[in-house]
Amino acid sequence: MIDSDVSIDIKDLTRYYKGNHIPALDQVSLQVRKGDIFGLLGPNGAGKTTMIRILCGLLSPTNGEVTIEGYSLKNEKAFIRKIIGVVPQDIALYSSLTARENLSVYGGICGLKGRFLKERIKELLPVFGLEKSADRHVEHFSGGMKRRLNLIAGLLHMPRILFLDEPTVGIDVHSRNVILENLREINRNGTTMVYTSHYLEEAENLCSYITIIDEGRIITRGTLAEIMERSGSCTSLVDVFLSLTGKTLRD
Amino acid sequence: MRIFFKLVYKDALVVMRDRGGLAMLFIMPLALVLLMTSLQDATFRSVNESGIRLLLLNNDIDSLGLSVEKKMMQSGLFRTFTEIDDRKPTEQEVKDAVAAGRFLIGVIIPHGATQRIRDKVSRNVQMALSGSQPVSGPEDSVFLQVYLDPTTKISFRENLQHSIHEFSSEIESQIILQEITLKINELLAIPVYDLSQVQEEVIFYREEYATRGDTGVIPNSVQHNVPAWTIFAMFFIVIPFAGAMIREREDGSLDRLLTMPVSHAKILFSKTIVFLFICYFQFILILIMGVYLFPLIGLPALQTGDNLGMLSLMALATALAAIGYGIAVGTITRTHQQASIFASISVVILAALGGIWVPVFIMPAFLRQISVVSPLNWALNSFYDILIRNASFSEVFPGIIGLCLFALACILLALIYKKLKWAS
Repeated sequence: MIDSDVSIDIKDLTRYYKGNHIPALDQVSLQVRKGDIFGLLGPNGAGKTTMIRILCGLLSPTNGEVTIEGYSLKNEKAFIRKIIGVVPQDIALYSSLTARENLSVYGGICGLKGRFLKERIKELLPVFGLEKSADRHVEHFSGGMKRRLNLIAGLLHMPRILFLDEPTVGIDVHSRNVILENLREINRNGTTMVYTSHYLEEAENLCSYITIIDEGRIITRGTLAEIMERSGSCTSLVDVFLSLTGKTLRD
Repeated sequence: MRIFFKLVYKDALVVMRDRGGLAMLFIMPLALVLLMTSLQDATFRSVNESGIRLLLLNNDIDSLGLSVEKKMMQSGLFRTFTEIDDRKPTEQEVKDAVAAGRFLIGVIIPHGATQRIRDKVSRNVQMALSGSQPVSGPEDSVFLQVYLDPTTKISFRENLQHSIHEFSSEIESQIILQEITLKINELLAIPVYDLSQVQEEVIFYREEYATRGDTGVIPNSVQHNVPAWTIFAMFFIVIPFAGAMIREREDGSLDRLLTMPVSHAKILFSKTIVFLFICYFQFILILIMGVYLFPLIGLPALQTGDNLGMLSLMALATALAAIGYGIAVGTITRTHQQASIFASISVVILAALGGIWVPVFIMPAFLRQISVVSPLNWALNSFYDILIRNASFSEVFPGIIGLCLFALACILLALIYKKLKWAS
């Protein structure tokens, strides 16, 4: 039976890469509830990106099932693509095009058209402080401006679910603040978010539910309060993270 | 459909924004076709029209020497010189002048050459008339010394030998007939007419190009080179095409597109449309250059006849084959560097095999057999069919289909590779 509160339902998700006998994801099962900002945390190589790529339809799982808003990822991928938005870790923009042209292209491909598309671009550019740079080529943007535009391109079509893969990596405090504030606002308007980051303080402040994975397995999950309660003497998410994943370097 | 047009708009915009790259896409093919056609035309003219610098030292001031000298002077093939610095050279000076590159060829006709031939013929005629078997020894032979510039190609040397042999054998025949006449006159009371004066040629040949219908198209270096180098240039679209695919993959734009409601096939197809247009425009520009610019710079004008429709179709099929190859290269190679190195070298190999550099019929047997695998060979043959042989559509059709199937095979290969990679 489908739980109407569940946005993403993952069952026994396993993924092996060719030539590697250790799974990148090992029978992971979890649910993301509608309206959550779901923090997916873990050290390098834990399996976060593999999971995001599977959920976005960019990678096929070796085993397991995924349903998004009640639609099977395996059989109804085309429909799922219409209701999700993705903000990749890479600046996935055309650098020789202007900000407005990039948004027009991505918005158009997502099905927005005509006046509505123009209005939507006009509405979002000032929100992220890019209205004055709308007609500048992206190659001349700063890192923070590119990150903000990268985010707009993912949420232009008002997706029901937004996947954010380290959306604030490598930018200054001001840009990060603008991004996080707006993500909260977008979430308040009903968008479910799956968010990965290495900035644990950021996750602590933003996420309503957190899952930490390591070596392809879930090692803890819950609200921040639940995780802290279970951790005993830990005083922050960073302490919990280090106590669960160890202090050795990961590549 | 609106989504597809948005993709085409995006790809066109990305190409147009790279003004330098776009200019290269048109300027380089035009420069290549212009340069290669001019070079080939100049080579053709240097052998047939401009004349080859030849230094002749005629030490035989008699029939053979004078006749060979006269024929060389009259020949359009050679620009014959008999002096260096206003004086007759020595044999060593002839050799030195050729070695120094002042002349491509040096020919020395030895002293007494004609007399030696006369003596030999006289002796043999005498023996023949007295019922004996004519004999000849090495002392009877006449050696013409020929010095060649070491850079001279073998094929050219063969042409030269043929020409000198032709000049000398004619005068040799004359001497034989003169001697026979002389001996007959010694034996017979009634004098006979000098047989050597009967030099009327009885064998003639008439040369005509075997084309269908009266097209008026004269095969020349332009008719041969423009299609060949145009195909070569069009296939170089593989590099920017594969580059565009790899750039999109490397900067994450492709992944973002693939999370949107658009198929990978549509993403590739939109690029195909944009680059097909570029290729076709390249072809039109080269055609215009061949028809209108070439005559202004002294080259023969490209004659397209009344086959513009078939030419356009062939250009599209060639462009499609090149882009199909670009899709395969762009999918299988991982970096821009890999793609550009592999694409440029493989296109040069396919061009060499396909007969772009040298005609397939003069290749070694095993290369001739391999050449049929090159799509550039199919394209070249079909362009020749249209431009030179005035072939009908049904004769060109297999070439068009072959190129389209090649494109399809490349795209299928890319999709299968992509699917396997996605699964792994």
